[in-house]
Amino acid sequence: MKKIIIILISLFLLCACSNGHSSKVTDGSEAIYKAPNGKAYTKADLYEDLLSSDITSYLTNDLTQKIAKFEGIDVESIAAKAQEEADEAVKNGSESYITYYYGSVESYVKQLTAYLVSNELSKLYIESNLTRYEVDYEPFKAQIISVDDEEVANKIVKYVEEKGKELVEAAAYHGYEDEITTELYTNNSDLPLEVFEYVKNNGEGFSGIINSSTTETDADGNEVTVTTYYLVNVISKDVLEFQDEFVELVVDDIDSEEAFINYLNNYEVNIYDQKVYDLLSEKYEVLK
Amino acid sequence: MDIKEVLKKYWFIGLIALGLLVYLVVYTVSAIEARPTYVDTKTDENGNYIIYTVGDEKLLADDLYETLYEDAGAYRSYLKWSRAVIDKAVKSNDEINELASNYANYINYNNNEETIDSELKSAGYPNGYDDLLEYCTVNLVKADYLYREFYTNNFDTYAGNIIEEYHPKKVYHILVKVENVEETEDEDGNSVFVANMSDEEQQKLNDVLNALDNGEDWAEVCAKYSDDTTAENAGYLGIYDDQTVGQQMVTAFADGVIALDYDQTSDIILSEYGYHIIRVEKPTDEELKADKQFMSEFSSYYSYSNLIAIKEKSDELGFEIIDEKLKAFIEENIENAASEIASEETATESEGEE
Repeated sequence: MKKIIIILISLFLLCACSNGHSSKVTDGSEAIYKAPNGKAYTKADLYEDLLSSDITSYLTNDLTQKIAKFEGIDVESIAAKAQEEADEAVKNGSESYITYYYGSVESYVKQLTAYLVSNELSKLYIESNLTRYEVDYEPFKAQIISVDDEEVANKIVKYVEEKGKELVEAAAYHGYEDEITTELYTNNSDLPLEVFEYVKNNGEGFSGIINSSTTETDADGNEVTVTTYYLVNVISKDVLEFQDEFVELVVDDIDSEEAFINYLNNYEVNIYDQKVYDLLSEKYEVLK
Repeated sequence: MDIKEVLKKYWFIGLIALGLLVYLVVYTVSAIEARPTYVDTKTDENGNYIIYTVGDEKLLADDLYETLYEDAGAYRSYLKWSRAVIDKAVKSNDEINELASNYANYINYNNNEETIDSELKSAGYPNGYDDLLEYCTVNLVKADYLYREFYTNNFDTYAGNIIEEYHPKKVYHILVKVENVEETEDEDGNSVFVANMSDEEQQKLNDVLNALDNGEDWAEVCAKYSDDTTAENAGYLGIYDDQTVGQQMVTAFADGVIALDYDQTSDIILSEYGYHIIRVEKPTDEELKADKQFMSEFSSYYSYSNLIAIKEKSDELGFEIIDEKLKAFIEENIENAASEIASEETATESEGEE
């Protein structure tokens, strides 16, 4: 009899050593629903189920907003702005569209806020690493036109150089119909190598003609050389003169998590939940 | 005391100690493999669980729950509740287990483990891939049983639209097998069959056609001439509709069935098996109710009405829904189900008036 009791106690101890968990949420024993046998599916159960789905984006958004606050970003203002945008969209009849794609207007506001805060954090990061990005992107502001007729190109050049006129006026005078605007270019822009080489090796001002030749196949299948004549007026190569515009461009270009991961490195993040730790450390090596 | 005597006397203590040791080793090894880094839990000054801290800021479990509950609480609860109702309503048996196993094998064969894992977690199965068999048992096989029972009991409400759209038919055929059938392409690139019939095959086909033209009984002609296994049963293949016949029959045969109205007989149709003569009849409501394949189509035809089936069964079994968000979620979707039927009935009435 004594042996049977000892065996039973041992088995009981074994069961007690299993993965039981106590509720981590307040009022965790509150029932969501009850089965006929009285067993309840509780708030604590729902919490564990919710954690088992992919909640990385929720956690990342929360961490981003906390870090953003530390970095002096006005998260409340951004949230208010997002709410205004949502209210305007609802007023314009877009509520069903928002509900379809985001689940609800509240969810849309949350996601928009998260996106805007993440953008602001990225901008901050880029500004504090401006030199690095300037080297990576080689930005400059310029007016650039291209013409196929060498004679027209020469006339425009002559008009600029001899009469001291601006490129925009000179081009328009010689029949150039497209609007000429001052744009921000980087080494990712769709321009020929010759133009980049010129800008890299020269200062601000008018370039004269820059030839760029390409080989194409004509209707008869013959290879022909096609030359395009570029005329460039470099307005500025000083990134500080167009910093805001450049930062916006880089924000759109880089992976949004690059800044976030950098800040995770700088702030002490201590995780006290195993599931959350497993999720976040798998995505962000820095948390391991 | 001799060691052997000690062991002989206290053998049961040794057995328990060995069992505990084995359990400890297995548990530790699996825990280490599953979780290379352990984190300790922490609470704040009020005893609330902390998820993480960033500098002075912290995220509490309660805050995380509120955020997740707001976005997905109702839906995740609904998944859990509906699964519990289905599992309680339909008792497991060998047939269900076998069907579930077949489904699991099929899913495994056609998808990689990572995809299955991710999809199952989204469907409310926290263990992902490890829950595949349970998912197949409850969400596929048992759910089908429950829905078929519901739609059979409410046949008059739900069947009209499906019958109108899918045209279920009792399908019979006489097959004259042709050994040498070639598949080729016509001038438009469509696949066509060419029969190179032997004299005997040609004669048989002629005999069948003459017998039917002379008004001989279909079942008797079938029994006498058909080369199919259904010959003795008037060539009866079962109930098929415009959806299922295309999924399960060769194209030429399926097209032949779809083209026929009730009580019509086709001309000869050539497939890779030979020549078919097809006849279709209108099934009775009782025959439709008894046809598992047809009744299984209701649950995919009606998006929201399945929830009515689950809610009715939930009430019948004595489940009690307490959470307000879950209640509201169910009510909203039941309203959608009601309007689903109403709009179909309105469309049917309008067509009738026209």
